Amino acid sequence: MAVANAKVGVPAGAPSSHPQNSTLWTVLKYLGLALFNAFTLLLVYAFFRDENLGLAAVFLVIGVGMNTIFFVPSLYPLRWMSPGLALITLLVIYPIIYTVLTSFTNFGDGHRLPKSQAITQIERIGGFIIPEDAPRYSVVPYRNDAGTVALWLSNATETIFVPSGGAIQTITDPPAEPPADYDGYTQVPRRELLPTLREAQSLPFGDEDDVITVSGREAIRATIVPRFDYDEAQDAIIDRTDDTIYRANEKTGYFVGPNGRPLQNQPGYRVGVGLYNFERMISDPGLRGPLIDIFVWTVAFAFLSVLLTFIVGLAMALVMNDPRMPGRTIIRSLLIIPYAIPGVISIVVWRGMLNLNLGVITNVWNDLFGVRPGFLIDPWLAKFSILLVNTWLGYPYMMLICSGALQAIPSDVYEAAAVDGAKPWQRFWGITLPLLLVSVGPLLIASFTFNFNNYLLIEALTGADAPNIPNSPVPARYTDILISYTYNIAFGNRGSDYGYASAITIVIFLVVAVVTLMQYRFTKTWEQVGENV
Amino acid sequence: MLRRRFLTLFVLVLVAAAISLGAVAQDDALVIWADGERAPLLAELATQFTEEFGVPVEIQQFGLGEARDQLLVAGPAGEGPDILITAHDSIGQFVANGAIVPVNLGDRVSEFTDLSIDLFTYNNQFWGIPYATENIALIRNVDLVPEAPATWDDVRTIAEQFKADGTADYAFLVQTGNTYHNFPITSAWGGYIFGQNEDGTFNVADVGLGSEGGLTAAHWLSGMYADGLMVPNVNDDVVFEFFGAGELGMFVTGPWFSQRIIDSGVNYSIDPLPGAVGGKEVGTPFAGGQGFVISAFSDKQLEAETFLLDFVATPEFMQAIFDQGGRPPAFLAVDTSADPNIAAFTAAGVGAIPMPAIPEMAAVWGASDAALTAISTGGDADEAIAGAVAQIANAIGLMSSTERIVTLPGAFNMALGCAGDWDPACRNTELTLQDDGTYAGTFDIPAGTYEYKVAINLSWAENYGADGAKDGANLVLELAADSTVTFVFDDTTHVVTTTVE
Amino acid sequence: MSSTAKAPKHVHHESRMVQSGRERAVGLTLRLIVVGIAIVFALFPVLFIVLSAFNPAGQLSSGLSIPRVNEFSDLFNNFEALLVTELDIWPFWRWIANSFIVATTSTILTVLISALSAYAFSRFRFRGRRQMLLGILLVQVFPNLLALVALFLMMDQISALSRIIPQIFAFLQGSFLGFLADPGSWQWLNTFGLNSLGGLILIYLGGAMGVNTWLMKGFFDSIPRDIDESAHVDGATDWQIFWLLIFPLVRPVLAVVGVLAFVGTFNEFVLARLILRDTQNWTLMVGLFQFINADFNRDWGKFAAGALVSGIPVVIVYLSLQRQIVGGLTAGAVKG
Repeated sequence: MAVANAKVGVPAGAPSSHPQNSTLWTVLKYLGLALFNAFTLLLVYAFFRDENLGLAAVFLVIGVGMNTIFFVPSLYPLRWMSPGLALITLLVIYPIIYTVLTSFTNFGDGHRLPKSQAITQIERIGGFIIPEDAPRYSVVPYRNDAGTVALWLSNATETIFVPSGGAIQTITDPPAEPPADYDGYTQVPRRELLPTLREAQSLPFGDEDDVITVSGREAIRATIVPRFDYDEAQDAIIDRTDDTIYRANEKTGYFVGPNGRPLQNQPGYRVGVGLYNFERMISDPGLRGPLIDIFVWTVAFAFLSVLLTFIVGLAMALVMNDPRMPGRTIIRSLLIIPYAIPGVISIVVWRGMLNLNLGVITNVWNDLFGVRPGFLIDPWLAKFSILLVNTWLGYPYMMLICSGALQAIPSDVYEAAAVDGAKPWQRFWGITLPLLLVSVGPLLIASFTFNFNNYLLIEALTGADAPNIPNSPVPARYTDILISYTYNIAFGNRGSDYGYASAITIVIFLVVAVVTLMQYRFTKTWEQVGENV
Repeated sequence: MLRRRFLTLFVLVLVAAAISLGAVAQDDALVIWADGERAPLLAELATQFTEEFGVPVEIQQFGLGEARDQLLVAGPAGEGPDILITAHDSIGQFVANGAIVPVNLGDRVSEFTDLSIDLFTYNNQFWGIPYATENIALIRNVDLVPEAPATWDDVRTIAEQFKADGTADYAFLVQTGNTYHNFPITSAWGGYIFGQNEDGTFNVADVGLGSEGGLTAAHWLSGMYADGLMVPNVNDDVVFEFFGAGELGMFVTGPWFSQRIIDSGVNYSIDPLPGAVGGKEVGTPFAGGQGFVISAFSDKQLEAETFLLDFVATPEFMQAIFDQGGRPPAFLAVDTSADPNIAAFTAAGVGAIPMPAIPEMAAVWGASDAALTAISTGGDADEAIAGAVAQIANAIGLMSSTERIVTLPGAFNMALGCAGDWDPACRNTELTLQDDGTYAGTFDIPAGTYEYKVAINLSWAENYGADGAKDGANLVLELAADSTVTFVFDDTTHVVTTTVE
Repeated sequence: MSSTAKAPKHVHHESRMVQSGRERAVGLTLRLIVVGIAIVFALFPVLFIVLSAFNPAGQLSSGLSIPRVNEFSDLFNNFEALLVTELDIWPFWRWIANSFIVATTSTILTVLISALSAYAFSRFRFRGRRQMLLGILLVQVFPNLLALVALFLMMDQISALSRIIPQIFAFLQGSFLGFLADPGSWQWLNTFGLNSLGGLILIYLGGAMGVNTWLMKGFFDSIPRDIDESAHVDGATDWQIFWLLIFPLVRPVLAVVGVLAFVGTFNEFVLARLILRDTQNWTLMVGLFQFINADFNRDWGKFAAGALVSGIPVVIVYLSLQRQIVGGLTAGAVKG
């Protein structure tokens, strides 16, 4: 044992590895690394070229990291984890960094786009200024052999024909339908209609004093100008209807007009707002409301969920572990079924069973005791119901890992205990439980943190049924946990406010991290127990 | 053994995966996001469109809410649809994000119902091709309640009678904590969501739940629950269960459950909603609509417009949608005679109030739902409504915090034409943003000594007093004579300086 | 306790079960009662799902009544629609195949990746070991609501690679490396982008080295080091020890992690919905969820029927691995 503890990684290419074909192995290794590096560099460059610096940086980090792990002998143990580490960096850490960066921006509804794209959208959506009396026509495009486009334009009062760059011809006595051929031009077939119309939008028709513009599927006999255009010199959007100037405000991410009001009904853009989202949390009345009650309930909920699922799961695993139990295979499979069914449908079924008016459980209770408990509408019973349902949802998981972990307890330990005359209960408390906690302890922590953020259960089970905390500055339910309460603040008010939600997320993470760290101290003890086995 | 099996399995799966991973991506296709009911119908149109114009069409299935959320993420990245189906009340959010383009209907406006055109008009522009509208109505068991009640007080009378003679368990039930279904009760007494400005836009500072009518309605509800005439924890399943069992006289629901009403096997009638004594003669539900919109991130707007105007907005297709969906059609030419319930729902929707599409509505739902839930379990009606109104004001104050509105609530407010003194929501005292980043405004104020404060975003939630202190002491303005006063507020120090002329 | 554990000998455990007949009878009765209650608790809600699945009305059953139907065959309407008649609208079998491919591939890779990491954490002592263990636990608990946005944009970028990379190599056109500038040779990248099962598998693997590593490490720790020691003395490499010696010994935990990963990916909905667009590419859960995605009129009947069908593979996987999970107590260790 002592020898194993002292061992600090075998250096790369240690003589003991693959003595027979070490040269081939080495060549293959370096070839593989070269290919990996070439491809990673290619990706980094490709992302860089596409101006996606975040992803380029992540792949660069992964590439450098992998090479370091490969070439530095003391990092040998990390080589075993390299696939896992690369994936975790790309798919878990990158999104976390993205969240952190987002918390310093105003990203959210109204500010979803980068500035350049917001300008494009404003110019595009704003439409055109069209003189009110300008005649409008429906368009039938024509084309001659030389490829010149011409338009057959008609409305209630007149029909005209105009080739691109040519003169406008008024057609007297027009036929009911545009002719197939006219003046050397042929009507374009349906299949080319849309591409031709698109082409016509950028072609000049008519002459300087009498312009015809194609816009969408119609033509307008006037010069039309876009309503909004962006003036780079002033860094402003100009509304051409009255030449109002909306200056870009880099602090708020809006184009702000002279009255201090942002450009209405047009998107703003994404800007960095520094610590604004965090400052907002301090001044947010919602976060001064029933936060303490909610925090206490969150911790209690997460803790009790873990405890209850663990007790039930472990009990089942122990009972099922006994070889004398008849029909073990069948029973075990039946007990695992709650795990096999999608959680959403189970939660909705539970919600129905606990309904005050026609829930089966409520009805049975009414038949037995003559009262209908408000399982979902009484503040305490609603909390109880949440724990009940969560136990149902979670015990198969605990049963699974306990079943597996029970196998890791060497049987001779029991044997020794049996020789000592230990009773079954003593065996359980003295041997099974401590040894079990060695392997499942960290999973209990993980389960705790999962439940700490178990948004789906709270939303789907209690939804609008749940009782409300009176006098709260924002809507809050007795069953709300930290994450459901704060998400309702960040997302419930005006669509999505990702920047604010990210800031809240980070604070919640810090809370969870502290709680996790406190629990983690215990695992040191567990691990020492494990080392001694 | 285990290792070999593991490896064999691994290789097999990798091979299977490699075979079937082939991605289908057509960059040049017109992409449509439609819900599960509309998608199969569109697939047929798509074939015709492709044949005629040579443009491939790809239909992808998304629920309405899902489509909205994903458009806002995928659209800017260029992965969004060209056309999508949406509910009309998402339009405000789409517009605020620059996500959809207006549609030019031209003369064809006349082919649609006025209501549907109203619903898809936002900020004086028209944003889509509506195909259906919807509103709730009163569903009545004719055997239990032979005559439709004219007012909500009549509903109560029937309920008391039921309770006395045991005709059925309940005369009327409403979905608990659900603003949408409870709104006809609120509106019957003149309650409303947001007040309206003269130009027709909503005044989000005027929350109508707390108006006199809104409070009367809340008291009616509270009384029904307190006297055991209605029960809490009611949802769609509960009302249909009781209705089908003959234990419920009346409830409210919409045309989406048309078939479920028929299936209940009850001798039913669909009636307009009751009015109120001293309020409206007939109750007014919310009106909602659904339709097709064009993504502003699309590079095929011409194709999308053609598809919608020439293929979707046709009597045949609109009829097909109606036959499938059962909601009142938005297209006038659709024949609705096949579904007898539709005419009744449409009749109940006369005068329905278009559900506001403004983003501020999001703040209303949560707070108002919570108040209704509280009332259902015996909470005090006045307290619950006051709480909801405060929550809505808070939320709206919070949401517009990037566009800060600075007002000066104080003793001189009425002199400036406000409804009352110390009103943070009165915009007559608004200071406007200057080029130097401060907020300023100039007002004529009669002689006197006035106390006042600075309020942000029309509520007291964020306010500043003397020396720029948050929630600080009142500021004081002393005027020896009638004067013109210029106030300048620095939003970084929160200090106000005044210049008197 | 530690003194008994210092020199472990692995033998079968029947000998310790020395109990009197009466004690045994009481114990067994008690167990049966516990198991009976547990089964009722476990299966009672499932009963409603079963009833809903057979209810042609499409609503969730609210009472314990047998679904009202005119003809017996109507009971199977939901199943028939899903499995047979509406296949041109809902390619149900295709969804099952997709789910299988995604779940199996990511399960196998997850087991492999986390076993490798767990081995290193269990057997090597290096600086920062505990910090790393803590780190992988902590990053997994980050309440990552923005992950969806970040992952979507990432997948979108990967899809764009097959367009960007050929542009980078455009200068090679005509040379013997010209194939690099041909978009065709980069199409395979799309199988890891948006709307692809490969991309979904990739995303699922992000969770591979999380809690699973912890679970496995705990189990690896319980395998005595003496086994490695003697093998090292015999000249075996670390890889050989891991692959030939330890891997077979830790079957129970591999099976547990396997079941957990399989169920997790098979039933996952949010990420799958984000990545997969075309009906043909959907996994089973994405397909089922669109039945209850309507604003009001949800088809719970079909959802329930599909949920039952989808539960079957999970139970089968569990059944096939059950022997590994609860098989003879550390029976394998005797070979060591």
